[in-house]
Amino acid sequence: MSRKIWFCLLIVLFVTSIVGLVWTPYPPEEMNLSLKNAAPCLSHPFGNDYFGRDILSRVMAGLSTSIQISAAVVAIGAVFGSIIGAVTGYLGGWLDEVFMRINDSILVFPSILLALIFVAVFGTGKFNIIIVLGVLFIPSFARVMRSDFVKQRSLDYVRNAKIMGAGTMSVLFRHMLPNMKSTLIPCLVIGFNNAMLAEAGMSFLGLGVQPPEASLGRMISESSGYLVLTPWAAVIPGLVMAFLIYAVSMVGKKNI
Amino acid sequence: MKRIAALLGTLLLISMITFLAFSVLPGDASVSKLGTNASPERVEKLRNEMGLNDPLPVRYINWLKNAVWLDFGRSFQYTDVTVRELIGRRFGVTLLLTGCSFLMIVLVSYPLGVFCGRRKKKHTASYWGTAAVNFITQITMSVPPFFLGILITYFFGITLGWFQPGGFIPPSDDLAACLWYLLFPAAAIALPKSAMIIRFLSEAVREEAAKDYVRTAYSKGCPENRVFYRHILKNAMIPTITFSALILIEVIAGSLVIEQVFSVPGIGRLLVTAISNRDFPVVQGVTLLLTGFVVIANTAVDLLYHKIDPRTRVNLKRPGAGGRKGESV
Repeated sequence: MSRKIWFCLLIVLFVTSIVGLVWTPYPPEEMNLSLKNAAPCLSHPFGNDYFGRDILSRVMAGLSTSIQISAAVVAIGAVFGSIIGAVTGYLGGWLDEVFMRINDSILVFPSILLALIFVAVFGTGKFNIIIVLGVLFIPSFARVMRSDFVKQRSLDYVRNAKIMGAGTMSVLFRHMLPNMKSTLIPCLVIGFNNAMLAEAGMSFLGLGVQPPEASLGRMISESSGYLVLTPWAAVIPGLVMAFLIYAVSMVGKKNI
Repeated sequence: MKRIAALLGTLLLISMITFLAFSVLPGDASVSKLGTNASPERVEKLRNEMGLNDPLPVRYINWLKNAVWLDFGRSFQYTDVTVRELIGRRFGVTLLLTGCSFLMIVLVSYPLGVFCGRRKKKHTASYWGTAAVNFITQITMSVPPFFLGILITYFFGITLGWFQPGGFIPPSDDLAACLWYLLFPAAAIALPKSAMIIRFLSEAVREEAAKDYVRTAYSKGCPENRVFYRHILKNAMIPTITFSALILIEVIAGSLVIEQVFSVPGIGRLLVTAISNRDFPVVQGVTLLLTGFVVIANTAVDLLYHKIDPRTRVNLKRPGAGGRKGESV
């Protein structure tokens, strides 16, 4: 029951983010100095920030930026992670050994630390942050998928597929992958939330999405210096993000 | 011995990657010393003097020789300060912050984890208490840590006025005031991590409680509390302690971000400013220090695991642990 409610709320958030792509009540980057630090009112329900920008519009735009980045990051991690997991888990041998060694040594480091170092080398920006976080998300997916491929490779249906003359690629991705939904979906959910948190953290440090573009982390960071004047400008984007992450984890939890 | 060798190998590999990653980037010490307007001849002359024109392996060896003694050269930005001094000044603050935070995590999460893991009758006070803790842990894990820091700043700093946001006091001036200030960033780091340990520990307790040896202990007539504290908890603590050690690494990563929220002048702030200013010697130094710490901590965790779990010291196969034929366990 409560899962249905969270699911509906999640749909609302996603629709808002899609709407935010094409339409916002005010242009999200428009500064209006007469509305500087204006408190929430009817025409600006979430108020305005230090530069007189409408928070609602920025939250809508920022939500879609954050969701886009997280989705792209998870997609990169899941696709490459599944391929690596499939190949190493199914074939085994020295390839498996080498890949898993590399994997484990990457997993040891906290992802925010590695992301900071990568950004120091490759530079900031939306595109870079997607690549950097996406690459950092590959090892965890690869590890989970590998263990599932190892578990399933000796099952009868895989043997049957092989006897029927299916090629390795076909066995891996047409026969085995669909049977791993129950492993992959929770990973996608957790991964999405982690990507969301990581992107927000990077943008908060000023190393992710660059101004004036809105992302939820960026908005919190920009307004955190004006907490006394405009608490809503920092608190509302943060609450929206926490809400989204909570909703995703509530919906994903029961799917396992 | 094998572990120590692996540790040294990993450290060497990390140093190589750190060096290579930053040596392919444009901009080096000669330009920062002479400014961007210097004539190419002067830059070339200085590059020769500083050994920047040597082949890459030679430069790496020279750099490594100094790095072993924690000497990473001079900062590009503050040219009169060595990187070692910059790091040294901030290292103590970060250490204090992570120490406070970790202590908080242990003090909060172990008792609560034990409490949540115990079996309860429905609709009693402790049953609802567990439900409340579960709800709070789920929420704290959904809130980005830096946002938690902002909420703490807003509530305790601005509304209640318990501390002055941004008014960090160096520990050398007044240690008590400094610790009081650090209490709030430490809490911001500690809350989500405590939630993780509470989850982990209560899950471990529940898992252990379902095992056969617990039933045996009960059927021998062992009282409930004794079964719980002497049998279940002892076994549940083994993975939890290892997990906590891994959380310590996460705490340090968390402090990188939280220092920014509370303007604590620690390693994290140094690293973030250095990245924004493309001050590569500082980035290299901090990177090497932090990654080195992570690797050493991980080796320590492995050793700790062997130390606290007596089963890993015995070479006998546990009954029932043997796998099917042809499968290695």
